[in-house]
Amino acid sequence: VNTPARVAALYEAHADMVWRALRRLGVSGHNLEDAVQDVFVVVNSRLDEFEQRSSVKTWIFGIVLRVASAYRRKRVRRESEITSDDCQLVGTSRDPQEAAQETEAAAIVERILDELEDDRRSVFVMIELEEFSAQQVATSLGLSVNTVHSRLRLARRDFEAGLKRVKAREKWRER
Amino acid sequence: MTNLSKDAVVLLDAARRAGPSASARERGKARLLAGLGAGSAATAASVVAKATLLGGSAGSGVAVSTVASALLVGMGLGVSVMVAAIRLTPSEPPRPVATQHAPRTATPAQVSSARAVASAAQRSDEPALLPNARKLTDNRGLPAADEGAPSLSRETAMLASAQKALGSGQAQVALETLEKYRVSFPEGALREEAAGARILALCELGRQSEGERERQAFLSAHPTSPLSARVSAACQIGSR
Repeated sequence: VNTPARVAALYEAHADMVWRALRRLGVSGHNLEDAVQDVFVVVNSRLDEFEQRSSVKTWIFGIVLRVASAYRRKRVRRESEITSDDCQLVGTSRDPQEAAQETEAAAIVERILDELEDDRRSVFVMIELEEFSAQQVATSLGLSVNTVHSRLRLARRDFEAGLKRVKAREKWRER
Repeated sequence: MTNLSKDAVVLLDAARRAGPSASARERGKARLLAGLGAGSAATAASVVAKATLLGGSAGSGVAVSTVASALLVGMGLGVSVMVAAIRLTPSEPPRPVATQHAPRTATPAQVSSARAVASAAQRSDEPALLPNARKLTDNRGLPAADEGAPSLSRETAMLASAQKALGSGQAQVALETLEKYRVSFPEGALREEAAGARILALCELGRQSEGERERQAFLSAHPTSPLSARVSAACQIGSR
C-alpha cells in the first residue's frame, strides 16, 4: 500500500479535527502548523501499528493529545518561515455573517479554554467540542469514566466562569 | 452532571463549526506530502502555491472585536436572538461586521466552498481503544516535517513568505524574497508561481513597465496558467 497516499487520505478526513483540537488544547501561532505536521508524521510512522480496535478518529485524537502536551511542556518557540497569520480557526458556514460569528465564537472559546487547567481542558475539548463519549475519553486518557465525569463537571464550571468574565469585559468595553 | 448554560451551548455550537482556513489546510497537506517524500509532492505544493496566490490568504487576519461584541451582546439578549443571529439568514441587514477592523477578513464563501470539497470529519460509534498509547507518550522529539525535508518544502516556505509580504503591503520584501527564491531554485517546481508573484510585486511597487514585460513573458511561457488572470488584473489595477 502506498503510505503517503494513505496518510494524505487521513489528512483529508481528519485535518480539521486535528487542527481544531490542537488549537483548543493550547497550541497556537507558528506552532500550530508544526504540531499538525507532527501529528501526521506520527500517524505515518505508526500506521502499521494501528489496530482496528478503535476508530481512526479516536486513535488520531490520542496522538493529538500527546503532541499538544509535548508542545505545552516545551513551550516551543520556533521561528518558522511559514506564514502563520491564518493559523486561527475560521467559520465554515456559507453565509458570511454566520461564518464570521463562528470564527468569533471559536476565538472566544479559545480564550476561555486558555484559562482552564490542562486535565479539565482535554476532557472538555473531547466531549463538548469533538463530541466523543465519556467512555471514549476514559479509554483514550486511561481514566475511569467517573473521573472523566468529574473532570467534565469541573471543566464546565470553569468554562461558565470564563464565559462570564469574557462577557463582563466586553460589556465594560462597550460603555 | 451540571449542564452548560444556554449561552455556553450556543457559543460551543458555533465554535464547533470553525476549522482551519482552506489555505492553511492545503499548505499543511503540501508540507506533509513533501515531508513524506511523496511522488506527488511537487504537484501538491504547486497546487497550494496556486491556491495561495490566487486566493490571497483566505481566512487570515480575521477580525475579532466587532463580531465579538455582536455575539456577546446577542447572549445578553437571550438565546433565541443569538441562535437566530447565528443560525438563520439575517432578516435585517447585517451589522457592518468587522470590516473596518480587518480589511483582510476571511471570505467565508471561499472558505466554505473550498471546504465543501474537503471532506468532513467522520463520526462513528466506536468501542474505543487506543493502541500503542504508551509508546506514543515518549518524548522523542517529534520530528518536524521540514527537517531534512526535500527542497520542496523550503521552496513552499520561501514562496509562502513572499506571498505573506505581498499580502501585507511589503512588496519590496516580497521581491527580495522572490529573488532569493530564483537564485536558490532556478529550476524550482514552483517557479511559475514565483514568477507570478514577482509580477504582482513589481506592479505593486509601481514598476509597471518591468511588470508588463514580465507579464508578457509569463503569458507566453505559461499560456494556460491559472495565475494569468490574477497577474493581469493586478497590473491593470496598478497602472490606473
